[in-house]
Amino acid sequence: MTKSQFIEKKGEKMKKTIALSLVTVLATTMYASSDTDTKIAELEAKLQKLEKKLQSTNKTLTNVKIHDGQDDIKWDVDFRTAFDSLEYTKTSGKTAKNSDLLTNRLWLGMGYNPNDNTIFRGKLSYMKAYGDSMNHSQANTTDGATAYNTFDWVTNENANDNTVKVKEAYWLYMNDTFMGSEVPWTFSIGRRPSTDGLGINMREAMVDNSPLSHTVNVEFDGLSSLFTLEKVTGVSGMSWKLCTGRGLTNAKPRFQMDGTDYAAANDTAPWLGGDGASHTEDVDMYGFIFVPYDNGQYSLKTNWAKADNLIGFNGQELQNFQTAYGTYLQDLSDGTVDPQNAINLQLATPQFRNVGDMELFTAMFKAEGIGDEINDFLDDTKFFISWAQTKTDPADGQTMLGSTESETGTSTWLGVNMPCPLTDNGRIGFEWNKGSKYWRSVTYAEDTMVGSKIATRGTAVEAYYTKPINNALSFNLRYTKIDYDYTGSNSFFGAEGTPYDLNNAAVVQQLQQAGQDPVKESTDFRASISYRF
Amino acid sequence: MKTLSKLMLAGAVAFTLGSTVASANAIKGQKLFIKKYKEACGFNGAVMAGKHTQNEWEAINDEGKIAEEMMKLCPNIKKVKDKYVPHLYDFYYKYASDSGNVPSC
Repeated sequence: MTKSQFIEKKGEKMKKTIALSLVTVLATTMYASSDTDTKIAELEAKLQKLEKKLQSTNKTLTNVKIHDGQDDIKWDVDFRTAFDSLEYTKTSGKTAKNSDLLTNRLWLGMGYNPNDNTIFRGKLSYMKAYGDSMNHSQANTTDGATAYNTFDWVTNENANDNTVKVKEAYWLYMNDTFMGSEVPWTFSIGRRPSTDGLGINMREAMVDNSPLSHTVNVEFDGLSSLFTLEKVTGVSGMSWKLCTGRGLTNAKPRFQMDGTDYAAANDTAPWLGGDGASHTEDVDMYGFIFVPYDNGQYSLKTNWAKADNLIGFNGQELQNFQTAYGTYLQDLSDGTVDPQNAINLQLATPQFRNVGDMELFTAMFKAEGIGDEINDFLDDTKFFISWAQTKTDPADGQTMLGSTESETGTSTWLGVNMPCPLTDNGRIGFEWNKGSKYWRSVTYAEDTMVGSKIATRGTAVEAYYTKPINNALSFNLRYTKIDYDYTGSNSFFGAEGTPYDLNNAAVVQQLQQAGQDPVKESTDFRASISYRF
Repeated sequence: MKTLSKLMLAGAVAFTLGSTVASANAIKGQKLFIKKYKEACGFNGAVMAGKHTQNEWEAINDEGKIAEEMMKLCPNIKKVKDKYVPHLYDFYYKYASDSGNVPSC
């Protein structure tokens, strides 16, 4: 092979190699190009899908904004259906019972945080017995003594009709410093959460509200201001809270015949035999809750309050009424009612008077778990002991709780709440309280169908079981038994609250001769299911 | 006791016995925080819950890092027991920064 032939042959080889390389490159490029196109197509498809999703999401968001953008309240629900079996045993041995009282209670809770310092809270409520009727005549009974059933203090605790009422509505301002000091504080005005406070909340597995429930458990319009002192004192959980408000107003309603709308009430008109003077005043209350110590496990809480111008019946007027009533009953018994006796009974119907003032004090120790991780059972066991005192200050010429003197009453209350060893997540609790002769708590709104057990002048015991069914539903069983030592446990503050000794046979006989047959013992078995979310 | 009441009571008991049981509890979580961690953190449980959104708390919980996150946010916390975590998580989730739920006062 010549050199030129060799070069020519090599050139041809190179040409072939280059050609092959070009073909390979071209093929690869074409393939790559084809792959990229596929990927681009896939991406475009994905983008289109995402765009569609985004459009859909935007549309949904717009709908949500239209629906909720101006909605400045967040709602929660507490709906309870309860079955109560009640029995009252009177001093004569006669009983009164209702083996199946069924009720629905709805609380629509409202809340909103427009900014870091301000909160609004509210609660709409209705509490209604199954089959109950408008204006609460207790449906098909003929008992007309329902005037107090719409009393403002217990509007949402008495079984009424199906009207929704405002149980709570208040705003609350809070700040981390007070006038430059390290004292976090709050200020709040409105219809405050003054029912179901610490102690009584445990049997319903509820978060406790503001006051200690040993002395105060009623709805209330007023203000509160809390100062948290732990940073400046170095004492864990120390705080002081001012609470004040108006329990009852003496203002007349609108559209008075004499044009004096909202003036102070003139409760005994001349044409009803009165002197036309006003006998009641606004019932105002003021006090404080002082917490000397609260480390989250062990706490001591105290509550002092003074209520002015409390209402009740005058002793003489009540006696006149009872005499007239006795005469009327005798007429009925004889079968002929003297019209004059009927008129006398109507005229003798007593009116509320301003009977005086009262001070209330509570000290409660609570353990949220016993010991420090001794075992799971003790860690999860709650215990409290509470002691309370009330002291009356009768107005001139009036009696409070049947006495013209200042009378002191006391009450002790113990409670324990622990895991139920027999069921998963169930809890059981036992409570005991005993009140003295002149014990007079303001606990009319307590959620006990046979009357406030805390108000008992005598002994009350209770056992309960609560069990969460899921994160919204819970089941509750409760048995309450009250043994009264004295009458008047759930009365107001005047002569109607006179404590007659029910363990004294002679006193009981006198009461019965006067036509009275007070309740000696009462029981309430309750089963309920609650939805809370 | 009347038939209606008997039926309702029996139904309630049967329903309770036949239902699944909830395991965690936001109220218990709140109490646990106050009892065990408030002092170490120097702030209340609502502040802790507000440190994250609900999605963030959910993600942290899914990764099993609730205790770790608590110790990061509150270096004084030495240990968080496993049995407390479900209750604490329920509480944090309920009062997370975007929950819209208003803390009790």
